[in-house]
Amino acid sequence: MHPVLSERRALVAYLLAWLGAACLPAWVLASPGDTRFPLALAAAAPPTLLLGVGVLPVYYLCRAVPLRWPGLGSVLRAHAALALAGAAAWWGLLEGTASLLDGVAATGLAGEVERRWGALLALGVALYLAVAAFYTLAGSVQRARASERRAAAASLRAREAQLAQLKAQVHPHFLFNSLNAISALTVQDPRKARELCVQLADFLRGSLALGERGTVTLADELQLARAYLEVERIRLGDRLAVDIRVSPQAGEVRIPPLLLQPLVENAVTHGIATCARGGTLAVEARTTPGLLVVTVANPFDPRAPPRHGAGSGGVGLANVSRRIAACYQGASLSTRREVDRFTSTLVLPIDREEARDGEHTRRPVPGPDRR
Amino acid sequence: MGSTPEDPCRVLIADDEAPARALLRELIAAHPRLALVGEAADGLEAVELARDRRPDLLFLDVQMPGLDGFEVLELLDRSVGVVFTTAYDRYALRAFEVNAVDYLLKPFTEARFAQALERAELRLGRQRPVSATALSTAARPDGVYAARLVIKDGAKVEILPVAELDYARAQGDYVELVSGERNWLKEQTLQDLEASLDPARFLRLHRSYLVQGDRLTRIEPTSKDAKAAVLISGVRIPVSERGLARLEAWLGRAGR
Repeated sequence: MHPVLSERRALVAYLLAWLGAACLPAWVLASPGDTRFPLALAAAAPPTLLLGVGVLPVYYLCRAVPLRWPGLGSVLRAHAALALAGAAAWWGLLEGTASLLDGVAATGLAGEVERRWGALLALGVALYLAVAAFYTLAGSVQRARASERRAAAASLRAREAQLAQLKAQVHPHFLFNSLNAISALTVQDPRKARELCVQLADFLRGSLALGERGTVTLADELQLARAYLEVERIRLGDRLAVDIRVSPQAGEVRIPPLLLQPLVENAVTHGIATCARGGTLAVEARTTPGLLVVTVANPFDPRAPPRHGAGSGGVGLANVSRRIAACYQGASLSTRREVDRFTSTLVLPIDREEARDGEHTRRPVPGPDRR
Repeated sequence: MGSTPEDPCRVLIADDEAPARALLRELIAAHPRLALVGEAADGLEAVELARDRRPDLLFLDVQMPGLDGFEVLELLDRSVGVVFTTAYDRYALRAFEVNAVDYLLKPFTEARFAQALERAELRLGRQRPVSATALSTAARPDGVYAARLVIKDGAKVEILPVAELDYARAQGDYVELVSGERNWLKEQTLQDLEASLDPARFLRLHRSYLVQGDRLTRIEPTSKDAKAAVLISGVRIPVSERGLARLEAWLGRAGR
């Protein structure tokens, strides 16, 4: 936004300031006590006002090429050329208005303009430079504010994603179905009902505790996934088989909490639960130099009816994508859909001090999840 | 249908979760007037058992593999009483509340089960007040339309992705669904079918015809006043005056 053109009051103040600046060339041509001073002011005012209008677009130059060390010379040269051109044009106009006045009143001002050309040109250059300095300052203030706003918006987005994640933590559908299973088991198999209560409590406690921490180890996260899958196994029975393979190094990597959980829940809700015969949910975690790679794979029924209810497919995954974008640089979540098999792959950079092998290259990992 | 001691009410359960089935089995066993005739673990099995065991009443879960509860309902005889069971599915709940079909919200009490049963017995043998399509249309989020159609084709269930449907034609109480060389009859009104499909894709060109817009190639006059639409497959569909107006509006929307 142009600091002068964006507001009417600013524009009026700006033009008045230039009118005031016309006193300077008038003073060069005739001292304030001189009877010719009002005439000199009358001659200087129109060209000076025009100069003021003429330098308005300099703001865009100042904003486009801020003063920075590489390229500083060329910026200064451009300003110098513009300053000289502006001052020369202004001097020419001044000469014109002075001659016009001379034609009316024979004040000899035109001759004065020619005689004092050096002082007048210097004044024109100084006026231009004052404006350029003002615009440069205004531009850098605006840039600083804009980047503050951007940073605030980014942190807000990260927080929102986090919040949405925590809210989505326990799906009501899962909870109510589990309660229904407990209700069924209380008569048929009281021991199993009690077991399910404990497993459900473990899962709820775990997700609350994990959600409060800044980072957790992958092993902790997988512990929670196991508690969740135990509950689902009681509901789904033999349809749900689980195969979790984690290398010892991968288990120790610290990640934002509840990052894996949506992938696992997705694999059950939109995968195993859609297959009448069920299948195996496979989680594999390993490290490569500098990276943690986690894959979650499951079968699904391509002919399954679409689900519109709670935790619709894609929402959980999109949330994970947003969170890793907010917490890491160089992290990715990719998904692959084969005929009847769905695989999601999470790749996260590892902090050097957190990886066991200190030779791995460090990647900067800023973000609200890292404390 | 019978609900006397000599002729108990025949009940079928459809739920993909074993504990949920066990709970219903237990409650049904405790009831002298009920006889459990089968348990289905997915939607396709539910349709099969409903055909073979002729139940009077079906406890039907909404989210199941194969076919969901609404699709199963579409394929049932209209005389079968249905009580939906669901844990939490706000769209399904919306459909039930709007359309006054009885449902059990999991987990439920024995008293609530008995209440559902009473209401179901009152309705036994009567036609459901709303069509299954209307119910499943209400169970979808706003702006989401059916992605597939389910059809009972003799003993087997045919699933037709909506993208493969060329056109549908009203045939009394049935609609004829046509996809290329294949066609099926489904017990449904053309109005109900139209309501479940995306109006940006399907056009009612005639009182008896609903056509997938991207199948159209051209419009031809057939006589002085009548016009016909020619599909990619070469089939000619009569176009009514209102159909023509709808086609023009549709072409305008599509920006062609």
